[in-house]
Amino acid sequence: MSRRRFLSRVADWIIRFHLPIVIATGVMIVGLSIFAPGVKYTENIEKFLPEGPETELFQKINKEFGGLNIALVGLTFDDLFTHDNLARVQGLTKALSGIPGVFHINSLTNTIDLTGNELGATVKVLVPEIVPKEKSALEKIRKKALSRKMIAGTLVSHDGKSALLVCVLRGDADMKGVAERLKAATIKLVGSKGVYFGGSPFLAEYMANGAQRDLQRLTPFVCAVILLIMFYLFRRPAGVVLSTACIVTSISCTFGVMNLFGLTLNLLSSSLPIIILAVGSAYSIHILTKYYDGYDAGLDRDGMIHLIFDEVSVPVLVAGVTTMIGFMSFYVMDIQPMREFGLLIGLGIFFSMLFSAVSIPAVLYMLAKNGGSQTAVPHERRGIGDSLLEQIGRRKHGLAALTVVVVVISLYYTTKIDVDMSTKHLYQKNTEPWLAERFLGKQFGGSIYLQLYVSGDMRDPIVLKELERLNDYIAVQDNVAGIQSLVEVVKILNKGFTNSARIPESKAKLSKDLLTLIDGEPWLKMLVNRTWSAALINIKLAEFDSLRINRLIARINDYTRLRSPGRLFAVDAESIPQTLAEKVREYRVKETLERLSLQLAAHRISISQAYLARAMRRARAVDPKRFLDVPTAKVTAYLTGDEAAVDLTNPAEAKRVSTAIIALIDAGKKRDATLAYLRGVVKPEFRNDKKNLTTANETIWETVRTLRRQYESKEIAAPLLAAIPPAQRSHEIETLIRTTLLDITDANFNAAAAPFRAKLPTVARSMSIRISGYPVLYEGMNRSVRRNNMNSAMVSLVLVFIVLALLFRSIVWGLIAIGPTTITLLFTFGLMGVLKIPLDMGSSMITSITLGVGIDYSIHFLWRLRRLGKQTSDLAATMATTGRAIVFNAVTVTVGFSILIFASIVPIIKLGGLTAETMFMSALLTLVLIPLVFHLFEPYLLARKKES
Amino acid sequence: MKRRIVYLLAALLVPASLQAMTPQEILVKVDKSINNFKDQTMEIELEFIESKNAKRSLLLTMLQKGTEKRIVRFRSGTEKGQALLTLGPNQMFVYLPTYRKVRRVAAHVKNQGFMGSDLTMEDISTAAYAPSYTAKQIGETPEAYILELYPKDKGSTDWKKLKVWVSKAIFGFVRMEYYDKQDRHRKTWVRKSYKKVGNCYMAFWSKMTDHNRKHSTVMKIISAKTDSDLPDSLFTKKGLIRGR
Repeated sequence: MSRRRFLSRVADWIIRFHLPIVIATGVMIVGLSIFAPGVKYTENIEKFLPEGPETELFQKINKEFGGLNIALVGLTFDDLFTHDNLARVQGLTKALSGIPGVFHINSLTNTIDLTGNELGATVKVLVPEIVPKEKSALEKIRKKALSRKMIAGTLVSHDGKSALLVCVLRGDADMKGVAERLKAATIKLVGSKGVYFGGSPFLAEYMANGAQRDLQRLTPFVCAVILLIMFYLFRRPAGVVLSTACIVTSISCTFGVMNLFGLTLNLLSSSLPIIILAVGSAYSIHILTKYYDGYDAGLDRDGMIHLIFDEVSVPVLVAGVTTMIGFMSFYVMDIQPMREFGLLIGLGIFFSMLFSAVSIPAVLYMLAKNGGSQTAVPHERRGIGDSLLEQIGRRKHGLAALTVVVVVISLYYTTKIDVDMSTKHLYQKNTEPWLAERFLGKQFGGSIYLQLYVSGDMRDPIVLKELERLNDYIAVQDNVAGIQSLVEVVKILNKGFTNSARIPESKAKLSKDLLTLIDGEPWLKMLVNRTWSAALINIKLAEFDSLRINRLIARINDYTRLRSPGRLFAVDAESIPQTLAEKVREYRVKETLERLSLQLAAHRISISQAYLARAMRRARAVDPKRFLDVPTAKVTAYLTGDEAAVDLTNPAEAKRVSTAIIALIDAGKKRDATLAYLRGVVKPEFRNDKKNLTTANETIWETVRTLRRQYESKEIAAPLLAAIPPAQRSHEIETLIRTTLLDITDANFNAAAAPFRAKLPTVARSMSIRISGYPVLYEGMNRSVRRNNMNSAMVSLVLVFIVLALLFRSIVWGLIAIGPTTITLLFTFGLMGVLKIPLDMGSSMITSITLGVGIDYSIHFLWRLRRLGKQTSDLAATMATTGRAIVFNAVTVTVGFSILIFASIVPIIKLGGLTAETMFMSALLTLVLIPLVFHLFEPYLLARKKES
Repeated sequence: MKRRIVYLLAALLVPASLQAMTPQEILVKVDKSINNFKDQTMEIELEFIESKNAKRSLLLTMLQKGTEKRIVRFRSGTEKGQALLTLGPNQMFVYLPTYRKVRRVAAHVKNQGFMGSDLTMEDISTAAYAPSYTAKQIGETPEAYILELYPKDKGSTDWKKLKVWVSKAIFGFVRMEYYDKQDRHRKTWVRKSYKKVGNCYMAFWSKMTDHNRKHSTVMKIISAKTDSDLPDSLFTKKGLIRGR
């Protein structure tokens, strides 16, 4: 059976069963559409993550550390440290903590104050449960808060006027829902004045709600404009109603199917109606245009239906299939929502195609009268097409050259497409997230965090010291506004017991005592996992700038590659062979000075390495015995104090006992000797108390060693401190230098960077570092989208080309058909390069829209030309009929979508603007380039066509 | 059913004078019932339950003299050797064996989890309720009085109120619910297996559940004795260091 005969039979079938078709369509529409309103909106960024190591790490971190979704609530006051304002922050902290989905909230009023000094407490809260009213007490809180490294600039601004509530959401929480609840509760409690909402959850909430608001606000205008234009173009209300109904029902049926399959809307799929409108509206327009052509030509009802099926059903079907291929090719992507999205758009197009090709003819047959008086295609319509063709024919070489130039320029700018992963592209100036970002940047140094996942035994001082070194390195890098890590916590806690803010030397101290003190604290879960086998370093970034972030990531990677490629080499200082002692000392001095210069650089102090080295050489001459008196006083104080494990027979002799014990130590005696001496001077009840005697003996040995090391480092630090400009000299800097210099004489060290490592008795420890966080994820996500998008576009182009080549039974015609679309795509990418529009998940939709719509135009145009392609006037006739339908469709959607540039959400603006541009360019290039090709190669092409 | 009848009979046999007790009198009676000792020594096992598969337990010894002085010594796990001394609601000290030092722990820390458990220092250190809380009766079952306890000093606790079920038979808490300042139910402490040790009743099994953290801690008393004349010198910093 020939194709024309088959199409005629289909037309007969439609005519015969038009009523059942109309009823079945109605039933299907109602049956599916009743489920449409039930579609829910959820935002789960995890679903958007491409399958791969970055996502796996993200999920691992989410699982081990309770979540990387951090919502930030900022509050500004004239002065935060008043009773009312602190009470406000406290009340809000408590209220927000109870919101489902919130894992933990850290604020000034619930943060623990880790203070460490010989007399002070170890862990306490900074703001009491009952906020004081007295000025002096409030001033005390202010002074403390602004002096704490972990609080000032993190939870309180340095000027003491702003507070920040850091809300960590559970990994499995509905980010948008929790953000909405946090926002509502905050506004209810403290109002909206001087309140800022930052961080990924609030941005996601703003984007989702903003997109919905924009679509709700602007869709009526878009629809009204589209209806008006369609009415102007068709001048037939029934045509306008049917075309609109076709799109509306396609969308509602798609939503109905979504609900039936339990699919939910997200930021991406909320653009579904717009895309279906853009790519699915053409089918009904072509059918209706053909129908009214038949009506104008005076055909009867049957004739009009036969005309539709004879002339436009195949191109509508092929156009629909090629568009579906374009979107369904998303199924090869590695992002689940993109796969769903492609399938749903494909489904929407299917509905649109079905209703256009089957239901509309049936409805038209049911409603229509026979055609009017037989007239030719109106003259004025032909006039526009003719004059366009005339111009194309006359300027064919100029136009060809122009096309080449446009292609070349587009290609050039395509390479300039912005790859910035920054979220700042998502919102406009003076909007809520923009203001929040500005506030957080100004008052708290930023709101974006990069995370380092460090695996290793976090109860091992060697691992923690390496972590400390990494922290020091990162702190001085560009774009780093602050660091939060376990290291700072451990150092402060240790200070509480030793008066020295450093990592304890002994594993027992660290793992057995210090860390068990804080084990189980909710805030600790953000820094170290439950088994202490991995830690998270949170790096606050000053700016979400791709280049700076990528540079930072590269530097961290370089550092870890050079420093600890997966392993550390612990060396016990006492086990070093005498022959290597000097080399080891040099290595440890070098390591310590490197770290010291990083620490000083963080305070904007630079001392030349040569000067540091000279100072160190002087330090070698230090004689530990010079510091005899101070340990004696300390040991005496211990033996007579309330922490002494034993009591002396004669407490008045404590100084003499201390001096004697220290003399034994200096004489090179072992612990047994001092223990024996001690046994002789304690009260009789302690002489056989081995435990308490040992405790006292060990305490004395440790006191002596610690004090001598401290004084030695003080001696070395003096010339270093002298080199610092007086204005930068402070007690803090002096303490920092002295504390860091203690590293040289620690009981153990990491020999990973020592060239003579192989000769040392080392014990390997594993430690590896991986980078994660939202900047990495966004980059991975966008990279994946770009890759997927390019792949799916290429796959679609090839498949579509095959379909078209088969349809036209010609490779050349297939190439002509995809030509305008390919150039539209290039032009759009070039435009994005010029306008600095990044190619991200949102803008990648444009590729599919271009493919979907552009190919449709070409198919319709070429199909018509092919049908008429026997005389020289074929192009003019095609232009007057199919060309007109293309213009109808392009003008309608272009103008309609242009309204979306008035949206507040940048992705909607981009989608609207780029869709309008794409529709316009696709139509223009179809109507200009195809005739141009025919003008240039007419004899060859038409001859080939006629032969075929 | 049989158990219910026993409780019903027990309730009927309770003297009329007791039935007419005010809520505060009930609370005083509870204090007397659970704190009727000069000193006590207990071996305790704490079991931390995060999920079905994530459990950890800890053995400890608790010495108490009166209602204020208390020493907790850890006998197992990484905490082994550590000890805590409580001399009153605002005086707490911790001893870390590797540092061989005692440090005072701020009073505020009593509102935080105790060694990663769901029990706070406050839970552990609150022995007498009547001096700190005002009781209000809100209901009664055949087995228990249901009271609400409101803190007399609101600043001394994180809780707005405690809802407690007091066993009529032994005057011990069988269930305690903790409500935060926003009146949200945050924790539940179920106490069972009461046994008489000396002159007082002790719950040999109890479970504290933190509904927010989705975490619970089971406290089992392994052995207990009372009135062993513990010396005051035990409850000092030196005692904390030396008496291991």
